[in-house]
Amino acid sequence: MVFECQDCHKKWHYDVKVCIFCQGNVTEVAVKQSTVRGFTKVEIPSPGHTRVPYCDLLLEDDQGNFQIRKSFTEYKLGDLIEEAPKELKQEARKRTVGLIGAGTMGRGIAQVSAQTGYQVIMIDRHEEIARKSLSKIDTLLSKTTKEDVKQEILGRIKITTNFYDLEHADLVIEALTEDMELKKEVMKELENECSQNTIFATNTSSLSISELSQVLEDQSRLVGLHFFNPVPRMKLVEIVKSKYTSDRVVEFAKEVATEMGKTPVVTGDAPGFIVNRLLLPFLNEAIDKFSDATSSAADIDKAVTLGLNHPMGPLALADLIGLDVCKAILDELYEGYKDHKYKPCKTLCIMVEKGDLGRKTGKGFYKY
Amino acid sequence: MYVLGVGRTKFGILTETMPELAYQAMYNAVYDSPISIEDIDAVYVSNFLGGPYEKQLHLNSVVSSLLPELRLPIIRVETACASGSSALYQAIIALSRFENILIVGVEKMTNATTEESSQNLGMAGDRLADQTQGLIFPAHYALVAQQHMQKYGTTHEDLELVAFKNHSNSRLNPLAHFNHKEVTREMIKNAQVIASPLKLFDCSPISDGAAAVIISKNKKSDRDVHIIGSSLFTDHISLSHRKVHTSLEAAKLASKQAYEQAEITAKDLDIVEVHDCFTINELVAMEDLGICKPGESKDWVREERTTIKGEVPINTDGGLKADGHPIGATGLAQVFEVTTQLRGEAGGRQVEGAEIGLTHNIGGVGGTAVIHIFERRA
Repeated sequence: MVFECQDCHKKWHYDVKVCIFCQGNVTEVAVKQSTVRGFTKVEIPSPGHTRVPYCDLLLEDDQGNFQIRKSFTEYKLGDLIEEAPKELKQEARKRTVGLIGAGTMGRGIAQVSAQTGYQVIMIDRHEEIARKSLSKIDTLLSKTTKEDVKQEILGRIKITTNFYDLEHADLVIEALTEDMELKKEVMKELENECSQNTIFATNTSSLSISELSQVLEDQSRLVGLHFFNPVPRMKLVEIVKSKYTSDRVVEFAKEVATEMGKTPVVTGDAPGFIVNRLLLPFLNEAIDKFSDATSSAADIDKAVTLGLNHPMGPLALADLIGLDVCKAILDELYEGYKDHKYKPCKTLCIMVEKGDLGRKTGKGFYKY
Repeated sequence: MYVLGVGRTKFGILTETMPELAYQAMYNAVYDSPISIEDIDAVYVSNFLGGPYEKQLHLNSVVSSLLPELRLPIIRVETACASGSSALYQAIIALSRFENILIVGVEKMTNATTEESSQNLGMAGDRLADQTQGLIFPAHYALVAQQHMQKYGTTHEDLELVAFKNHSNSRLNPLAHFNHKEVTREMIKNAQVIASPLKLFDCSPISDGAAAVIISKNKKSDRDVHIIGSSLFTDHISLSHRKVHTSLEAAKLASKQAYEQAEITAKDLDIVEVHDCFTINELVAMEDLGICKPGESKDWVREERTTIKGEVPINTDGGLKADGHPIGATGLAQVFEVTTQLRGEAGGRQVEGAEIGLTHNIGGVGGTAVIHIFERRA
């Protein structure tokens, strides 16, 4: 981007706003197309640029200003590149995102969406829950954000109980409890209320996207967008393709995840996706190891944190997730793959039966 | 030697990038002075942590980009938290070659976690002696505070008085980081311990910001302020390399030399800006500068002798504590405040009849100390 003084025509590559030479207004120069004047192909990775090779282009725009641009596409000298008009670039910032459910996940996604610059519409059947979530976002932002910026972010979040407020949303993310019937109801209602261009996403961590999309007329518009808790901090988003999800919708999901500052990974609609399929057998194994009574819970966790460099041990993590939730996911995996390795181990089943579910009941592998 | 113009940005958590902040400060200084940007012959840039925080070094050339086609001699100066005053010190020496020099200091610190900040700021301490032992910066000054308390009977309540005064002053400075924030004695007293005996309100904040100063060999207008003392001394970097831990030897030596240059004593000071990166350092500074005797700073703050209406007003802009501490900009923000006061343009926080002012800017825990003295002459 190049900025030019309206009066003395000095140019900057920074948004300096006012000219230090003559006090004139400095505005961005509009560019329609650029010409490739030089390029280099980079073959070695560096932090932030791990995918190689890539090209760095030396571009000259139609105003005679130069710019460096990274590209995975190769160009020849003299190639012309059409520049997206400025309004289109800002389009990203104008997206409207609807959120169904104002629980922990819904709230986290709402916060990150608003921080990205999206207009956010948060829906919960109980307005009070939505209000509480909004004030929690307020508290969280206060710790890191300047007052006026915080107000701006909060100003982008609207609360409602009506689905028809989502009519013009570009994307609606469902973040309700893991209940297929409930989710199906919501999807039907969404298809009724939203424009045909609205893309639907579900934050489910275990249910089948393909099955959920059965209730939709246009099944290509539903995609899994699996965020991780706490959403503002966790960098990963699993993008889950159902049998019907269109490529356009997957690309859109990737774009949104990237704009939100997350790293998307794409996976198919099979139980556990990537993360839970790997994690739950691991937790299950740790619990089984615990039950042979040769190591304490603390020692198993210490072994994993120090030996495998995990930030948290598996038993502490299982307590945090909730042992009932762990078991439910394992049941799903076992059901889906029919492989013995996913079967919840005996100790896990006993603890769930006894009601020792981890942090939320005050007792799991540790006391809280 | 004269200060022709001063300019700064607001300090705090800001949305502007590091180059944008530097530009704003330079712009404000140029239009505060009687000269234009084309009259500037050289630029000194002050910045401490552009590398670790923003992955941006070679800042002299970034500033060249901000001043298109001028291609001036520009050099970056880094002496940790004393970078701003050190750049000014260098610029003053360079007046032997140049007529007008612009000094700009900038720091962008809020794009990082508190843990990253602790590590980055720790770079002002010795890698081997301090950093490997987890001596983060609050801990450096906590040791000074503990020693001072043990030797002189200074209490945490005395530190609370310093924090309260500086927060109160910042309410009168619209550009201060905490201008908007009402801070009570209770909040200060009940705050979280960071490194005992220091609590949260004993520490300056992590701020973004920039400040700029234009100096010249010759007087250009009646608003110009004389520079009558400029001194820089250094010391061993770690407290553990020194024998005395209740005062900063470099600051004592630098102030002695600056007083001699200016032909004044501490008694002549009307307004003082000291480096209160932690509240204890305001007390230590008062003693090192000879404003009071060693051990007596606690009595001075108890008797409110350093408030805006007091005998020697200290940190009228809120100090590093409440105006903010965007490291590279800090020393120059002190010059901004003293210049503004000596010109009689400080508005609600104006010290009546201020004629002589001093800035005290410290790098690390006293490894660098820079003192400047300014005078308004009719």
